[in-house]
Amino acid sequence: MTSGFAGREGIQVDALVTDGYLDSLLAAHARGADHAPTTSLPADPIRSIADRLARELPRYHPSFRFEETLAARLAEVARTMRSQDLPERRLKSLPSEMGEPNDGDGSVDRIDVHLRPSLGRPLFIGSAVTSAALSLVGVAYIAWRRGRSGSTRAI
Amino acid sequence: MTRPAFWKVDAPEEERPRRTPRRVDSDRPLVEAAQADPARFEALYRKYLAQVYNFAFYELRDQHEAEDVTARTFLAALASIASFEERARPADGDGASTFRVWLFQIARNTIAERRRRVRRRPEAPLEAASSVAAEIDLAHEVALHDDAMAAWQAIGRLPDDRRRALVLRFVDEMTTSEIAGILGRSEGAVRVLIHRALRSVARDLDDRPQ
Repeated sequence: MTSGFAGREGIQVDALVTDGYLDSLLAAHARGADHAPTTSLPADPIRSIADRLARELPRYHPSFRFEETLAARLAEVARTMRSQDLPERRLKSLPSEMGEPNDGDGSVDRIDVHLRPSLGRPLFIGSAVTSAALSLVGVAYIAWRRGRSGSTRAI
Repeated sequence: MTRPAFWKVDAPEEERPRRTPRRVDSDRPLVEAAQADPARFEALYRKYLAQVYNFAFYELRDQHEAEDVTARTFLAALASIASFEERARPADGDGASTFRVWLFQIARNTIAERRRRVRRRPEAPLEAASSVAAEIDLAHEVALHDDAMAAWQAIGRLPDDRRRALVLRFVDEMTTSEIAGILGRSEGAVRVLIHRALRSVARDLDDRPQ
């Protein structure tokens, strides 16, 4: 238990002790044990709430249907990324599609925001990419192509 | 012996300063496979799907919102996997994954973007929608134990940064170093965030009848 420090230093020391306790607690839970042997313990309320949260906080898994649907979508994107030689005749301008208002049905604001400033000239994707959901494929493909040619970009 | 500031490339091997061996990121083989062939991204997807979904669900408290954020996160990660660079440090520990940190940074950005969009559309306020959804999801679908429900609700009442840090630590079981990378804070700041969050939750649960 810690108590000898005051103010800012005190909370940092207490936080360090708590952190060490959480390390051992979570490691113990991973091994299937309830308690963790530790050299220093945090104050009682912290220790008991940490034990409680580690034991009781629920974990969720998305539905199988969602998991498989997204897996299929990712596989489709991956296929598009692999086939780099799309015929020119099947291409269409990307910026006009990306510039459409977002109606919240699966279009990609985040990617859009980061791609748009760096688009020096019109980019093209397959004309089969029409719906908002499918346009993810085109955006992902272009981002991947750009990524392979150069710098790391934060998303 | 004084260590030179810049070591000559053609200096004899035995005179060069020894570098600390770089720790291998736990996901390096999977990441390299996905970078070579995007179809191999599936292994990373299967590995981290539940973690990303959990993070999104705790943040947004709505199943459909969480699914949407999860989908966007993985699609964006796949799109940029070629440009991902591993930055593992010895301090990160054995099981650390800079890919996981990077993936959760994308998730965090996606959630923030979602919140901004919801704020721009006041006809569908997130708080109202999510509180109803949370009740339905938790009470009827997940059938949580009362104590777990109380803990879930107490976590939801925390300020954003404290809640995120706590969820990443307890639900996604991340190290302080990984959480620091995701939240863009120092490890010391994350430790204090978690400590304060625990204190707040303890007080909150004490104040409410169980």
